[in-house]
Amino acid sequence: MDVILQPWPWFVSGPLIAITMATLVFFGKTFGMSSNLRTLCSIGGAGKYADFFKFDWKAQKWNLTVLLGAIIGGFIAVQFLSDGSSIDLSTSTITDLKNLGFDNAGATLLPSEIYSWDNILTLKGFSILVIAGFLVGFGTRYAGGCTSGHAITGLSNLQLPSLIAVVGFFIGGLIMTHFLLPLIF
Amino acid sequence: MYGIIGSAVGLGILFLWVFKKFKVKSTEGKEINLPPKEKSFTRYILGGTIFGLGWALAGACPGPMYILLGTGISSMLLVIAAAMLGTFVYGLLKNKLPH
Repeated sequence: MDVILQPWPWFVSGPLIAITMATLVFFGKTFGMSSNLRTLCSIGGAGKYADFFKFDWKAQKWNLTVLLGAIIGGFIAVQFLSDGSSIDLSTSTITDLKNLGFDNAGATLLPSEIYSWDNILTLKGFSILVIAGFLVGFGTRYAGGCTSGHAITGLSNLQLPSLIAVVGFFIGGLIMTHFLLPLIF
Repeated sequence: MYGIIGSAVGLGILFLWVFKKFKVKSTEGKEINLPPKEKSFTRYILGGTIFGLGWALAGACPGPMYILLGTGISSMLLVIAAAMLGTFVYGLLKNKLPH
């Protein structure tokens, strides 16, 4: 049982992601989580402002169900499949994060320096999360997919556009990690 | 992280290859054939980089956002709302952006 309660190694989680993708494809769907953001906008009435949101969102109900499953999966993982042990981050990553001002990296899923409500209710903390979310939502639709649609499904399908997008993901990620985060924190 | 994404894509390539090789039909009776992405460079590199900036700042992409919400991190709702706003603004500007 202990093995199940500790963080699962990469050679278990990686293949599980591939199985998720293959299962969705087998059922005639695709693996693309960011499409849900467009669907949610349409449900909220965004079709009044841009044609991009005028589509039959009801045909996307299956994907909202996947979204619901992701929430439930996160709940189960933490409530029933976790013994509270730290994430197995490399020592150099923990040192780097400590230098940026993040203590106890790996002890929680996300740093309380960013995600605790105490921090969010400050102007800086609020701005960080809003800007981060905005960039994710804008960039993913501009690129036509996110990690699931491009990096997992697109690359598995050997699509050049997805490779270009994934290169972009890492350009942005590396710029943020190495140049911008040290300026922000 | 590279192990996770590497093993996911490696196995993913194998799965899709098997689907195509043996002409596996989906449960809806159609032959499995993922629609190819439209050919372009600009939208993928620009959109991808913008996404990457937010990805590294938020520490979550559009799937894990919901998973982390499920683990009890309620502040993720703010990030999800901001991501919807980002998608909405993209929808408004879509015709003016280079693709």
